[in-house]
Amino acid sequence: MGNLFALPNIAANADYLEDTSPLRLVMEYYDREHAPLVRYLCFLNVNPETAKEIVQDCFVKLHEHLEGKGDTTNLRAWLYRVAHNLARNSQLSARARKTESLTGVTPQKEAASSDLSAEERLLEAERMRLLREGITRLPEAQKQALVLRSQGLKYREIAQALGLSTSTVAENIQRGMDALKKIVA
Amino acid sequence: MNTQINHLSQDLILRMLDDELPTAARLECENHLAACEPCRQEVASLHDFSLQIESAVHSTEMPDMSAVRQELQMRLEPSPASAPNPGKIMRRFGWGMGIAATLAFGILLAPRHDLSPQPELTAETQVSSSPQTAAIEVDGETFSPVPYSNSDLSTAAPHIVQMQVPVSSLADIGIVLEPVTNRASDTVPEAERSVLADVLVGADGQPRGVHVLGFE
Repeated sequence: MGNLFALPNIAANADYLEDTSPLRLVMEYYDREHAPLVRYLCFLNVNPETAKEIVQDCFVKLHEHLEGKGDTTNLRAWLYRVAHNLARNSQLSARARKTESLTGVTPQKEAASSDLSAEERLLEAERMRLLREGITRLPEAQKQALVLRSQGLKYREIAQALGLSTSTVAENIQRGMDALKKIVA
Repeated sequence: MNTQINHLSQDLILRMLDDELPTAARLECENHLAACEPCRQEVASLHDFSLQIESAVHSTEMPDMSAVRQELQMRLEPSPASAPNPGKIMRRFGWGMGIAATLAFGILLAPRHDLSPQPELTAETQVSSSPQTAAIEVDGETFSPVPYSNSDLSTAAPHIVQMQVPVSSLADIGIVLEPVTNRASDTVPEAERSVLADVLVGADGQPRGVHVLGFE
């Protein structure tokens, strides 16, 4: 599914050529990964404002990690692991305080496609809504694996981010797909 | 895999779609697909469904992130205004040298004491306040330190294992999850209770810290 999850071509941005500092690398990763990270956090029931803070903190930690000559073999998985842990910590403290409301996932305004009739667009929007809701209702492990897969992460990256084996990740993806099929059938 | 009799499993198809199969297994799948219409349909169906899930995930509402990039860059870029001038550095350096020399002299003359007493762990201690047992943060995850671990070992290349940890073991290292109020009504014996936890393994292969997940 290489084309499906193709990453944007960040090398095309001339600002990033030549400069090899940690700051340059952090901003490069920010441009590429901030949106998928926010989406992932939203599916973890983190509210949008907290998601913004967590994402910024993730990249500050990435900068510290790079300045400290940390391991750079799979920084994307590293970022998701940090985001995942920060979200978990944030939710734990929120649960303790019982002040933060968890908003869940809200839909983007659907882009009107000229290829579809009004009725088809409604059906498509309804299907997307069902899928989004279905994903949020999946068991945590299946939801996390499925959302990260949809963001283009390889199984070993998902495994590294979630602290699981690749075979468990594959199993969670398959179970999540099965459960979702039943929801939208 | 007998490609003539068995159809491809969903797991195999998903791994193939996600480019997660070794070359040999992939070729075997492709050979099977060349001769099996039902499996080709299943591949097309799972591919289509994967695209729909991706669309659903990507149609999530995004908060306005326009200011975040700039804030982040400001946080990370060294501010020229905060750079100290050379004269200030020298003055500070002079004072620093004086303080360092005084301290070094004091340490040489001071009587020697055992400065590392073992922390006394009681059953009600959750996290000791001893500096030796300060919380360990790895990749944004906070671990309660295991008291007898070697705190000098690096956590730069951490190995974190998720596992069920017996409650009694946690109590042994000073972590009590919550006060037990209904012991009599507990159906599971204390010795058999366990919780899900991330265990931070140090460079010596021994546990350095524990992050209890079980109550989430």
